[in-house]
This record gives sequence, structure tokens and C-alpha cells, in this order.
Amino acid sequence: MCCRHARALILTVPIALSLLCGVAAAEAGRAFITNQGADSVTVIDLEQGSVIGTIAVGADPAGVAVDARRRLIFVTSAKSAELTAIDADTARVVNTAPAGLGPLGIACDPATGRVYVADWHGDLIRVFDAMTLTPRGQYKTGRAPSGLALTPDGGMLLVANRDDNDVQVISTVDGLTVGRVAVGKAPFGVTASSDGTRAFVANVQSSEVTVIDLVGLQPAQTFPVGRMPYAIVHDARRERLFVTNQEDSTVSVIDLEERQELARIGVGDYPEGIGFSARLRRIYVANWFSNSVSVIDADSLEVLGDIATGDGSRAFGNFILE
Amino acid sequence: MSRLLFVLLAAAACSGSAFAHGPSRQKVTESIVVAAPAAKTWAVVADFCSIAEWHPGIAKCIGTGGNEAGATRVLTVGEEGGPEIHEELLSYDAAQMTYKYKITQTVLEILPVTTYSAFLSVKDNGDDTSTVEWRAGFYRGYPNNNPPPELNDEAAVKAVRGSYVAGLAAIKQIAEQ
Repeated sequence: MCCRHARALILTVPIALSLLCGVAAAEAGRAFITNQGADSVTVIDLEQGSVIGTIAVGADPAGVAVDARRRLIFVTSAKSAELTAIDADTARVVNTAPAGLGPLGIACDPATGRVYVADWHGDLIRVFDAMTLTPRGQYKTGRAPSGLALTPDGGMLLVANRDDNDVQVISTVDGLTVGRVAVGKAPFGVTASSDGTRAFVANVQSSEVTVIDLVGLQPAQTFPVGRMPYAIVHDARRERLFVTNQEDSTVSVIDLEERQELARIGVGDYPEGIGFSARLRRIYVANWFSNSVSVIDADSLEVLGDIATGDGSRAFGNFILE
Repeated sequence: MSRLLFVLLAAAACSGSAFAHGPSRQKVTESIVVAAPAAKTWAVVADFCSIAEWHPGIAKCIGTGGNEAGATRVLTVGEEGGPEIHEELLSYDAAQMTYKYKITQTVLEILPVTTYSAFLSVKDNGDDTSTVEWRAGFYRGYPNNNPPPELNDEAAVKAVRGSYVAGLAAIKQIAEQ
């Protein structure tokens, strides 16, 4: 049920002020960073590059997804096995629902108001209604479904089945699996290109990124990256991928046209979730061990700074609202 | 060890999804201030295979590859003939007095962790004292839901923390001599 009153919102002065100025709040870009060790979500103002609030959520929050249309943020908490909805403008928890055995990866479709949650221990996708968090069905997956992504039209749900070494493609119209594409070892973070023709997946144990052709449903290319790659964002303008490498504490930059790794950028320790503000041309990396977010200029590839967050920042999913 | 636990351990070690892990990685950070300059403290731990000389829980270390990335060490735990933990050096920086390594093979009864990697570093405090920091990230020993208490998140953290506290106290004692 909704509204855990005991988990009070910690409202800081800047966010309170921004609430009074509603227009400014609506325009400002924000990042919502899940902190596994602190059981919280840190809210970052992207323009200021500073923390403007902290929201208490369930135990071991990991996955995050943003519904810009409803201005809702969805968070999975692996340990308390909950799905939480946060109002992006008031920074308050507005709804909480049980979400299986081990909810982790999450994606949402603003057009249909559906939220998809990967149940790591249940080997299935649970579908929820965005406004009510009412269950709307479930899809069977391979073993240990982890990262989720939707094609931009919402038509295909991509599921990284970590323990089956494949990416499952599910039609969201009828819930049928249209294909399973074999990739590297232990695929985790997955993302779709903005034109919906390709998917990119990080293979944790084979330290590589697989590019998947979503038309032919087959692997198209493989790029070696750093050790234990975790999550990926795609810069469509420059045709580049940014990949967090957990064990190397770096971000690999892949040029898809040149077909090579351009750079490896040092960030905090155990970088996990990664987000991209196309408007600000900045990359945001959640550093699980360092309890921080590293900010990278997507063009110069320079690290612009680090923002202190909460313990165990993961931000696994799309955490940028703008 | 109970028969049930043994079966669970065997299942975790031998199943086809031996690389599976729990949903939340755990972390441990422990540090200790040493009343000795950083160079002296670093000298105690600088050799990747020196751990048998300072950690009270490690009886023997057999290393290959020195202090280069890719070097390995096999630790014998407790006493001669005891269980072994295999580790690999991931990076080594003598100037920064830090190295990073991972476990490639463990024995879950003594160290119930998977996908474990750790940093050991020495920092100069600027006043002829130094701080040794040891920190690790890892998953619990049991990969699936509802782990037995011996293989849950808390057990993993407790085992690593216990080892680090004992090791750091020993480093301090040796460096301050």
C-alpha cells in the first residue's frame, strides 16, 4: 500500500525553494541516484551540479526509471523487494508496492503508463501501472534478468538474462518473446539506440560490449572494454557509447563509426549506473564504492567534478529527468 | 558443519550458475592509524605476498609474478595444510602506496564471498604517522534468494571485516616496532 509515513522525506532548503518556484523546478534537469547502503535516493540539480535533496526509500535501492510525462521516478529496492514511486517535483514517495522476490532492473514507458521490473530471483518481468502500481501481468524470462531497456517507441522490451548469457526481446504489445540473442558472459546493463534499431549490452564477465541488431535479432559487433563493464549510455549525436567498468574504476568511450575504443576515463571506484543529459552534453556516473557521482563532459571527455551522494550509489537505469 | 550446510555449500560451489550472485554487492572499509611514517608502514605490506608475514590468520603465501598486475598468490588459511584462497593482483602503484586485487577462488566456509575485490593503501598523515586502509566490494556466498544465515550478506560482511580488523592491528604492531 501507499505512503510509508515513517520514512520521512528529508527536505533540504534548496529543493523547498525550488518547489515554491514551480516553473523553475519543472525546467531544471535532475538526477535521481539510488543509494544501496543508505536506503535513499539523492536528488541532484544538473545545472548546479549539487545535491538538492534526499528521499528515504526501501532497503537496498538499486534500479531507477524516469517517467517524464507523469513526472514520476520509479525505484526498485532489492532487499525489501519493493517498487517505489516518487513525485519528481515534490520529492516525496507517493506509492509503494511489493515487487516479487528480488526486483532490480527497471524501465518505464510514459506513453502507455507501464512500468517493467526485472525480478532477479523470480526469473520474470513484472508489469505495473505507473499511477497505481497495480500489477498488470508478468513475462517469463531467462535466468537472473538484470538490466531492462525499452525501444523508444515502447514496442520492444530488452532483458539482459545474466545467467543465460543472452538478451531477450519481448514484444510489449502481446508479451511474446520475439527472440533471444546470445551475447557475452553475464550481460547486465542494456540500452537501446534512439532509433530503436540497435541495442548495446555490457557483458560483465567477458569484459566486452555487444552491439545487437534489433532488426535481424543477432549480434552485430563486439567491443572489448575494461574489466567488469556494467551499464551503458548512447550518445546518438556522436555515435558513441559510454560504458562503466566496475573493476577498473573507469568509463570506456567507444566510437561506433570508427569501431574502436577512444578513451578510458578514470572515475570513482566501482562505477555502476550511468546517465546522459543530451541537453547539457554531460555524462553522470554513480560510483558505488566512492559514494559519489562523477560528471564527464561528453564532448571533451574530461571529468568536470564529483558530487558526494549517499552510501553505495548504484543508479541502475535511466535516472536523468529533463 | 551441518550436513545441510555442506550440501548448500557444495551446491553453491558446483552448480552451473556458480557465477550467479545476490542482488546487492556489499562493502567493507576498515582503517587504522599507525604511529610510523608511511614509508615504514608501506614496507610492511608492499610485497603482494607479504600477507603471510603480517596477517595472523594466514599461515602461508605462495606467489607468482611479484608485484606486477596479473601476479597471483595462494593463501593457506589458519595453519599449514589449511584451506586455500587464490587471489590475483589487478593493479599496483608503489608511488601512491596502493594495490588492488581480487579473489579468484575461495572456500565458502572460511570466507563466504563471491566476486570479491579489494584495495589496500597507505596514506601519509604528514605528522610521521600513517593510515592503512583496507576496503573491499563483494557479493555474499549464496547466490539465490533466502540464503542460509552462514551465507547471507551479514555473514559475508562479518567475515571480511573480522579479517581486516585482525590484519590491520597486526600491520600497526609490526610497523610501530
